[in-house]
Amino acid sequence: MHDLPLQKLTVSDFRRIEGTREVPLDAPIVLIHGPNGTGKTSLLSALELALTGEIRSMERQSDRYRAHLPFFGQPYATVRAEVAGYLQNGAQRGPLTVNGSLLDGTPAFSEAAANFYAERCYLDQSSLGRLLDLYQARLSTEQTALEKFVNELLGLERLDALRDGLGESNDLRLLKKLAVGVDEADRQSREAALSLKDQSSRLSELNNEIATAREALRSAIAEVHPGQFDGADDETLLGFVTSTLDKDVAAIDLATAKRVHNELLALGGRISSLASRPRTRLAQETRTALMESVGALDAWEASGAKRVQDWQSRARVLGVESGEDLRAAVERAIVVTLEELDADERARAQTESAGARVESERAKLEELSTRMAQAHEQSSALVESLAILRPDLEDTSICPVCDRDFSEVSGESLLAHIDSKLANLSAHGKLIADLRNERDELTAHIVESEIEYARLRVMVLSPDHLRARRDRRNTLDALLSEAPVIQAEMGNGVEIHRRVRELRQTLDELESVASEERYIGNELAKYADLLQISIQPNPNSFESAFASLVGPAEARIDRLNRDTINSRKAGEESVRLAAARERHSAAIRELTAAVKRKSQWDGRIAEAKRRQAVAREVYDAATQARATIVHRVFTESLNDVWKTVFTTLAPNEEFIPSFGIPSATKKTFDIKLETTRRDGGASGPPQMMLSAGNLNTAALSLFVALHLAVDPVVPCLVFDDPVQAMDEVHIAQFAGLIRLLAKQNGRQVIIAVHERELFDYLSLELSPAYEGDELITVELGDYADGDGVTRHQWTPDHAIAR
Amino acid sequence: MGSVEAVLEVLERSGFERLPKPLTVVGNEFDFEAAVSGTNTSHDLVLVASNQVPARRLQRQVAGLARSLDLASSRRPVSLVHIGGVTATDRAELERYARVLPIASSAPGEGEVENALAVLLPLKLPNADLVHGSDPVNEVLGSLGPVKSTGEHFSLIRASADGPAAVREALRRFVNEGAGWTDEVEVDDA
Repeated sequence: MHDLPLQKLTVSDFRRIEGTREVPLDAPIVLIHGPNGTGKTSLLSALELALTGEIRSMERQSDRYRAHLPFFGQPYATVRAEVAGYLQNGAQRGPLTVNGSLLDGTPAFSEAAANFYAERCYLDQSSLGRLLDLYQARLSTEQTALEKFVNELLGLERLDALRDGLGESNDLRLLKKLAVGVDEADRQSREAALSLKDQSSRLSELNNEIATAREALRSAIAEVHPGQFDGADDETLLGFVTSTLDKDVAAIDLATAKRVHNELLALGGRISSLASRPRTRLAQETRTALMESVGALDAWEASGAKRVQDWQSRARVLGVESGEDLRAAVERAIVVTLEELDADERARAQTESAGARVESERAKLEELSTRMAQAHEQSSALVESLAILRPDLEDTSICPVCDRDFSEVSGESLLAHIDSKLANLSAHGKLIADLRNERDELTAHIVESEIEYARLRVMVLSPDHLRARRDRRNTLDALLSEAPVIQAEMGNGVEIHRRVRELRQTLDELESVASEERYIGNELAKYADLLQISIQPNPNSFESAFASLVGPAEARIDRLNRDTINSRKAGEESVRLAAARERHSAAIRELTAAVKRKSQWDGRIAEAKRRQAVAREVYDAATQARATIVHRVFTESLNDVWKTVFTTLAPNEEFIPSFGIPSATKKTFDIKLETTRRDGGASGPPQMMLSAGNLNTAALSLFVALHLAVDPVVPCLVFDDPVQAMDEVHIAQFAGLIRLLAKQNGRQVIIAVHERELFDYLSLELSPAYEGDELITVELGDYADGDGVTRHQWTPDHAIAR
Repeated sequence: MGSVEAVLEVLERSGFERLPKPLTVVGNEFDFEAAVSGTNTSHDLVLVASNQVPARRLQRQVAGLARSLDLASSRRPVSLVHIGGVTATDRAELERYARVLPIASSAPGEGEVENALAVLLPLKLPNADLVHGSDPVNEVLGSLGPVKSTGEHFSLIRASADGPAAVREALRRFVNEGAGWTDEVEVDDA
């Protein structure tokens, strides 16, 4: 029994199961009995958790279901399943510990086995009643469980991949989004078409432009060279313009003509100014007059000039500068001389009076000096003597000199007498001092008078000088008398000089005019020759000759101007024509390119569309293949299995549930459940056609059928109270089916039931049938006897005689 | 007895073997029209009765048999194939002792028999080839036919092994290439 998928389950503190419970599962059939509330479902949930790591029916209710898994009051629950080696998840071992936040350890099954178990092996109680709905429930756009199953079963992944991947080939717009090259080719083709159109219209525009430019060029050339190029082709016209343009003859001619005209105008100015100048015919007269004047000049130089020079040299000796007015100059010199003579006379008189004054003063000084010497002699000797005597006279009245008693003579004392004598003598001294002062002043005055005298003496002329002055005065008088004659002679000379000079200037001017006339005559002749006009220029006809040349010169400029403009226009038009021709040939090249490009891109589009068609063929073939496979699998396989299982359970039911064969062209199956009558006719959906009991049967049979229809990854089936809504008959049929599945189809079966009777019945029905066969019953709750586990071994049955 | 024989044939085909008549259980004889027993992994006892047998008698016989098996502590499951219609009351009475597999008609066809006996017969399961079919690619090529099975078709089909994205990429490249498009450089405008 070691190849049975499920071997043993150990559960601790899991939901309703308190403490640890070990449940052996190593029998082909395990029957679990427990009244409601004894942990029957808990056991199967624990089994799912231990095998797969999750409990899907609970997860559908709440994604936080794990928080409720530990037995009330316990921190966590542990579960552990032992399974067949080939289903194990690597080298797992140890229990799975779980609570709200924790899931520790690894599930017993590998991922593939776990998935298979959850989907194809374990039918939980809550799901059975809703199985048909669950299978058909669609979560948003995902596949339903049935569709998923069918898709996996059919192995249509490659076909779907093909159809999915080639989907865009059915719609060119979608295909363009996928393969941008197609869109690009389309765009390029449209662009090429547009470009083609553009180039065509551009070409016709250019043709017009060429025609216009050609006409303009022709008319411009015809203006300059009429008739010369009628009917010439474009190349000839362009070639001509190019060659003439290169030389630029017109422009050079025009510049020359303008220069000639300007020079002519300048010449006109010279002709006009000539009119106001003297005529050359006066030249001879002037020359004669000049000769005469030169003769007069020579004569004057020989006589008059000499007289004048003589007078002037005499005057110059006397310091007279002879200006315009000779007489006035001489008179000024005479006045000066007279003034000098007068001054001399005055100086002589003053000198004489000054000498006399010095003489008188000197005499006066002499006298004064004598007086002073006398006074001085007298007074000073007496004073000295008296002064010596006086001390001796204080007490006496006897005169020391005469020894006489003074009292005899006078009543006053001698001493007083002396003192009065001394006082008189002091007054006499004052007189002497005054004399001395007077003498000093006189002496100073004499010095001043002598200086004045000396100064005046110097101012007096010496006799030689006086004589020279008087001679000079006489000479000046003589010059004065001659001055009027000399003055006239000088005026005469000046006049003759002026006339000679004027005549010479006139002669020069006349010669210059003659030269100008010659020049103008030559120039006029030159321009006449240049303008090819015949004239005979002479000084009298200069104006008319000029007039006859200016007109043609202007006309020539006008003509050359027009030629230049036309030439330039021809140049411009030729450029335009050449450019237009250039563009025209470029446009033709582009047009050719556009045609080529368009056909290239059209070809690519055609190729892309051909490839699209190839893809569509593959797509259609995949669709066809899919339809074939789907039809085959559904009709020949799925529905047959379901029918077999359903019939086994409900042999008398008139309506057999089946899959409506889905439209194979759609990628996702829109799988409908329907019923068929036993005679093969189609009927309504099972929910409508079957009784509640048989609807359950349909669901159960569908679950079993789906399990049987695929490769049994995990060959076991686990049911939680699957027969609740079944009547006796169906229960019997179900028991028979389980027996078939267990004993003939090699599936390990675990069933949990809550009814005692049913448990007993199934224990009997599912009892071991052959050597090695075994049934394990597990009783939970009050019925439990010991651990409640009973192993029923096969024993040979000899009740029936053979 | 043709109908009983028909039932027996179906059963025998499915590995049951006839038991000698009368059926003897721990010494007691029961006069059923036929009885078979499972072989190998089956030890079912299947009784066959027709409506020729009065209901009451049949009930007594089935009840007796059950009693005998109990006495022998036999755990054999017992099924009764009843041919030719049975009333609900009678059937309910019978079902107290055995699974009743009624066949309504007196002369049933093979299909009717097989339906009624389905729970005893091996399940008809599809063989793996049928379920999983042949290679879908061959199916596609078959659908395309020889004319349309070119290298171009085949290269698209081949891409399907790597999933829809690979197919889409193959399609994209295939069509782009036709349109003169290469991913690496810009389209040659020449």
